[in-house]
Amino acid sequence: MKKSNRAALLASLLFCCLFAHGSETNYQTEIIVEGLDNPWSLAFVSEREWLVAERSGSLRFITDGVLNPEPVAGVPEVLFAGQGGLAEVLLHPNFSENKLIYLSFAGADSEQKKLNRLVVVRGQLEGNSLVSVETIFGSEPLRKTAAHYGARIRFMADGTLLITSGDGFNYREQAQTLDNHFGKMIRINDDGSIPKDNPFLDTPGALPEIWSYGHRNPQGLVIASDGTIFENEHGPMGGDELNIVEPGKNYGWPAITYGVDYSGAIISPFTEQTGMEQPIKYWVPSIAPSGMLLYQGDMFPEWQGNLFISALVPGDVRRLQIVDNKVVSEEVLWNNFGRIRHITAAPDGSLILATDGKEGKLVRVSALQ
Amino acid sequence: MFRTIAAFLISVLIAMSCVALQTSISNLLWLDSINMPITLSVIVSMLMSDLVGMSAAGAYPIIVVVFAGLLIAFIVAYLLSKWMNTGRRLLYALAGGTALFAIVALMPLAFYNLDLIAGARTLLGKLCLILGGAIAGYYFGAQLSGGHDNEEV
Repeated sequence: MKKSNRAALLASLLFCCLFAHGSETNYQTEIIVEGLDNPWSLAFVSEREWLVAERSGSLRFITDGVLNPEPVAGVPEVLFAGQGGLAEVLLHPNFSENKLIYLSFAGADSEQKKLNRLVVVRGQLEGNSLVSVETIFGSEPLRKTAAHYGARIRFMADGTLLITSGDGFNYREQAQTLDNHFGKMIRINDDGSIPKDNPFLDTPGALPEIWSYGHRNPQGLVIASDGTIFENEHGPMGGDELNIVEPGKNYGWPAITYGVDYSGAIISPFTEQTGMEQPIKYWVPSIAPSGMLLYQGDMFPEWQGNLFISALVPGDVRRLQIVDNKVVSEEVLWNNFGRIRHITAAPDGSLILATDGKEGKLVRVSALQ
Repeated sequence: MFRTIAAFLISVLIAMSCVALQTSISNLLWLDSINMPITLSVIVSMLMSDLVGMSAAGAYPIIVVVFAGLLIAFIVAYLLSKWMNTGRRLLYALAGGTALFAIVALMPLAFYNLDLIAGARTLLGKLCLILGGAIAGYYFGAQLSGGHDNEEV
């Protein structure tokens, strides 16, 4: 190839790359907090005061962008091992009045220390302390593994609480039976009692708090204003899923899956089956979806109603446009920060990403000034 | 020496086949128990996929772990055979079984108690895999014996 032709080819390739460079939205990214130990989730007490949950077990305030080195006192001891630890921090819908916050975490059993479970507690925030802490949910049965907790929690519009409970890795088949919490979504009242309209209340042998089943390791959960529940879950090797979850339905794991086992073995040769729900999107190979946000802020009006999914592998954010509960486009964003554990929107409408790992950071994505 | 190497590689394949077979069967039995449509073609295809997949397509190389486990076990068995009068078939069968026992017992310790070989999640599954290792070892010992008791590993 002649030099001039080669130059022309390179120039056109460069032009194509620039032209194809993602969204037309103008934004800037800045690292606003560093030195976090495995950040997992964030809650906004106010525009100035944020709470960050670190998987190693600390709940810490960030005030005006400054991380308080002193963790919130009174947080229960967590099992920080494998994928376990402190996970979600969530404010009660009436937090401004009752000061209640909810935490999910992996907790060792008090009697059988080698066994553990997913635990959800609530307590009142008083200054830098959590008081009157009470357990409102503990998964059954106990597990020996320190993986696949799910652990995402969200309030529904009616004030009930949805909890994602993972399959515990070794116990995947139990996601298909209703006498346990492996691979389930759980719905309880804000005090831990069972809502009267849960789908399996009258099913013999079923645990009454179960909302849906057949899940693997659901770590992303958002509830739209119209009540639609979007949930994402880690697949095995391939087969990560985005689902719309409805009460009483079976999402198939591990009887149907688009992934294979990490060993290379087939988990199931089936990808669909009558009576089992299909994801609205799946990923092969895996992206390891972690957090999820349904953007409703004002800073990026063109992104309103879009789903943002943070991904651990290779580490980016997926922006999905949803029309009629179908994914019509996917854009890869912010793939230069490594594994991204969580994504949320700050009160001012900017996006906040939490990077995974021992040297975790918070990255703010805001409109270009 | 060539015959020993060939026998060793075949014993690795025997052990891997047992691991894949046990994994396939345990998955198929469960799928059948929840009324998934298991047909002969599903069974054959799953067996073949698991043999190839678990040998070459996993996120972690089980065949390498089996290779290393059997190699160490057979070297130890060879050294023991210098001082013991136990028959080679039995000795290498014990070595093969021990290698698979070590694999299914030690792998969870390295991965948060996870059984990465799905078939090893139950006691019966573990015993089947250990038996697979023993069969592989028995084959290797038989190849070494075969009228050539002084052949070295």
